[in-house]
Amino acid sequence: MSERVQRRTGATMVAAVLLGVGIMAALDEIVFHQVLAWHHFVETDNSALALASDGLLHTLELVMLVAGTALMLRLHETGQHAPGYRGAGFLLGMGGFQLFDGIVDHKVLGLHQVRYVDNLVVYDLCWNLAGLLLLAIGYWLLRRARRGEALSQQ
Amino acid sequence: MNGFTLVFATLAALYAWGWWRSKRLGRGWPLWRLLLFVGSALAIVVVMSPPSMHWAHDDFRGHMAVHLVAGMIAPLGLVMAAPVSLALKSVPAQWGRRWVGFVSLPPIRVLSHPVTAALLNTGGMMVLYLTDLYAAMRHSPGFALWLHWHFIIAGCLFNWAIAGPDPAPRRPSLEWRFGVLVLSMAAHAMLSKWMYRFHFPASVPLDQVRQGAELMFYAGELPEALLAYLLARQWVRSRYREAAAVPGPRGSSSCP
Repeated sequence: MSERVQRRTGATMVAAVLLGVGIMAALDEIVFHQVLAWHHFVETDNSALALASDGLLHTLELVMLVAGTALMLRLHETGQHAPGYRGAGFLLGMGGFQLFDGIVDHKVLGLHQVRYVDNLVVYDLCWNLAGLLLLAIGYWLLRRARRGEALSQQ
Repeated sequence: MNGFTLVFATLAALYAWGWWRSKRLGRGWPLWRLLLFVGSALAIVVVMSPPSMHWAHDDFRGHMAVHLVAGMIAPLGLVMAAPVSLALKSVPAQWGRRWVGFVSLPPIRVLSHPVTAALLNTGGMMVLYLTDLYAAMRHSPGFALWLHWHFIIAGCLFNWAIAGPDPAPRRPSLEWRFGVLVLSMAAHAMLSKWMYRFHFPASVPLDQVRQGAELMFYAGELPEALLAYLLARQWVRSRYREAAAVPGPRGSSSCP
């Protein structure tokens, strides 16, 4: 019966990546900004431009979460989701965001640091390695899905 | 009784009358929409009542809370209750054509374009907080009253232009509306961070500005995210059709 439904691999990947980015961004905001308070709403050395890019990035993260939710729900409603690609896309999105946050937000734009301590390099290294690890697992899942070996495809 | 109470109590009563009439004629109209409309109108009446207005006048956090309800949350509810659709069900058919004729008029189409609505809404806030207008407003009751109406109407216009369920011919494409919404949300987030960092409006004590700006950033996100979700839902619904997934009797429908 599932032959009648067209599985949409690309759309499933897009929805899963959007959700991964959105969830990771929300976790970052909740855990590191609000619960641990390692950095603040605004750092005192932020420039107007840095804050503008911060506002734009924050909005894009929120919109990705919302759009990813809407798209994924719709694909499931219509039965067009592609099994095997959801977890892969989700982890690639999470890892991609973590690495982007660690390199672009923290280093290039200088919005804030992971933590305001002396041995910052250890924190940076852990942050970016966590991102790479998530990306690696996501890539491994993606290869399994492409070969039709993913658990949800059996 | 102030003007806000008069206008919004009347609108809520009219909506309730339309809902009841629709139900009696067997055409039906969802109860959640009635509750949404009446609840939103009530929220405006409450935040525009004298005690709340005094708080908003004396304290920037109060001002921000009032703005949040009257300019963002209540307009979302009013628009999503589809009042025009209900009204058009309750009046003779030629009124529907008149409505379409009215919203097709060039000035109305310009005014209800997402870009205009965003400029009036978020742009209006930028002008209010980044210039001396906020201080001027606190010393002029007439101007303050006008600004409150401005933010209620601009909020409704914005929600209507972005994802309103009411009929409007030749709306800009979903991509356009989504883009305008994202930029407007980003401008809102940037503005609150600037206010926090650079102390705007300058006439307000810094600790009030900071708490007000944080309220604007975090609480303002809820109605914005909801609006973005509603628009995204319209978008994916139009792109991914239900028909393909309905497992009807074998051979009764063809697969595209």
